[in-house]
Amino acid sequence: MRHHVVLRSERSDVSLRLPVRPMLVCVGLAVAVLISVCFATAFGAYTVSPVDVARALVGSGGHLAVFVIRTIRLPRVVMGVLVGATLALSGAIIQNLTRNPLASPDILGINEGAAVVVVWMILHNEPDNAIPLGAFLGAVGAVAILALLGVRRHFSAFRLLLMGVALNMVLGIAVSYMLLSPAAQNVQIQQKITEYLFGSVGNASWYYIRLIFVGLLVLVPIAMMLGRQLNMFQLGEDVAVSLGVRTTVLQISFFGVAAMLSALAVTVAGPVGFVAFVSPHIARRISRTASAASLPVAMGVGAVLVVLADYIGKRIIAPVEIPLGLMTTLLGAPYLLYLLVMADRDTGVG
Amino acid sequence: MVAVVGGLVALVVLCVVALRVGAFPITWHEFFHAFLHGTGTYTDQILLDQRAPEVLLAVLVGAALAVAGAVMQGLSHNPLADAGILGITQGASLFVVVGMAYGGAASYVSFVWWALPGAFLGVMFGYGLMLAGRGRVTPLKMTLAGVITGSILGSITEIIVFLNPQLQLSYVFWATGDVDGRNMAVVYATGPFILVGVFIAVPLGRALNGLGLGEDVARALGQRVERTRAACLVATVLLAGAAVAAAGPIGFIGLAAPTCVRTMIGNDYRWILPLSAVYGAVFLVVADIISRVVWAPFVIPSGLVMAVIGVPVFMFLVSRAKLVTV
Repeated sequence: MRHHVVLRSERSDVSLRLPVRPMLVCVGLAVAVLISVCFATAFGAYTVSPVDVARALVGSGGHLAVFVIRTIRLPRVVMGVLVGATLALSGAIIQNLTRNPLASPDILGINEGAAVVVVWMILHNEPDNAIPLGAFLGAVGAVAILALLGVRRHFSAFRLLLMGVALNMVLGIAVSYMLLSPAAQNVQIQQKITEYLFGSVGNASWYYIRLIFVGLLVLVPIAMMLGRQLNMFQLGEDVAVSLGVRTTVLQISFFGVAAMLSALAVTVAGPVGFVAFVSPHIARRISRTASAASLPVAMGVGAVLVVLADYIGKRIIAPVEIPLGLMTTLLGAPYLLYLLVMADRDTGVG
Repeated sequence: MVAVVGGLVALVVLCVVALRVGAFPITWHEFFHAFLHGTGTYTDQILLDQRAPEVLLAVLVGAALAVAGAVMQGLSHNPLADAGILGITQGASLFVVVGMAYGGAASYVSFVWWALPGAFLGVMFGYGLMLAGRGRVTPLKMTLAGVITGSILGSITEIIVFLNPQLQLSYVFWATGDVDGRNMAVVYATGPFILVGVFIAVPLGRALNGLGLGEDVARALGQRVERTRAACLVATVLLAGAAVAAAGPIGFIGLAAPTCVRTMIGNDYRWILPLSAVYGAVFLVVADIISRVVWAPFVIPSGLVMAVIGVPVFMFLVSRAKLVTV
């Protein structure tokens, strides 16, 4: 199979060199996203037949079906898709940039920053609809601290990672400390905090969807346009410098994009764990490339993972919901393990 | 040399300080009385039955976690690695939670007997799968397998805690990590594992230096790469498993101690491994002292002190130092 398809226009100087396998995988994943979206929309405590789903989408059909589909299920599923894609892209950028397979926004303290503020808010009985704002402020605050402490004149991505890990630890302890405080011993409050800390797309609404969609519209093109330089980074920082990449500017802007993506996701869905770490790994393995071509693949993987995890977590021991953050791990981890164990040749992605 | 002598002197001085300070200060006279010709007076009991096991454990656990972290960093070529990426911590935590929820385990001493097998099983699960698989075992595959195993075990732990909310408090306390309230029985149960682990790990410095040049180079230099890896794994399991069993999953030492040592003496594992042991012990003894002094007569968990004081200090160092990566 040819590895790349080259598209050239006869008249202008524009040309595109597209990797074949990642593109095919992307198409496959797009289909998988569509199928899981339809599936998760049609099935639930109240089953709607596919025909009625289609009818409800265009606005005709019974009131109950329209309500269930358009107000309850569809926002939740669509938000799952967007949150998954956002987290996965954030993780893919950070892993590619640092060339460190253990790196992900989860360990940089961004989620914990949001968690600190939100847990404090829950303990002080702040209204529920203020929680996303608090989460956003917490996440942005953590990013600001990280930038303040981790960015020095001689920029080092490794220093930034270490700072993030340390920040994550401090904030994590702050959350634990609040969990041990007397106010947190009220069963209702305790449950609310626990539920929040696992992340959820259960409070989805079209408003949040618009929010995250606009964010993606801005950030994804930036990430894709910088992808070429990201590829050079894969060869090592010294090589990238000699190829004319302005490494410091590039690294800081990539970290910025990844941090903003992560902050966006935690704002609307809380700290959903593991998606950002695992999706890029799965993407690199199924698309057999570690280049920037694996970024869109990772987004697809993340989307499918979150939608399926949400659906299964909701249904498997209904009416009890298994938290989203746990289901993403229980689905994603065994699959990556399977890919690792079955990898019978060196694909250049480790 | 300054780093070596300074570290050792600091460790000895800090241990003596740790034995003397606390809710009940001990005079020099009482101190020597207890250790030279103890007769079972009140202060003898405090020193020998309470403080000595605590300080001894702080030294052992600190050294164990730091060496385990250094070995993992060398083995996985990843400066972010520590024993947590092997699934050890999570395996131990899972078993402790199972013990709390269904096994009637209630005291720190009884947790040891749940955590130890948990730590070993956690590792064996991940690596068993890896060895059973096809293809070459690369450092990346090993690292990922460990992390994934850890995440799965961690999720199961969270589910158990989620379904048994009454466990949350005691679990969070244990998971913060502490050496307070442990007696000599805990030292006897976990100390031997740690000592054996250190004896296996410290001589591996040369081999890890070779592996750092890449597996092929190491082979060409005449190293037996598989043997090195196996020794590293055995050492890490013994060290981290016993440490977590004794004191709970105290994070951060495994990352911080080797990183600090590396900025002091460069990237030479012949020195990183023994010095990590010394500085890891120093870190935890300092945390133990602070945990007893700052709010006396109450004791706060040393894992908490580690995070609240140790992490900002580490952040300051990291922001100043010229970093040496693996």
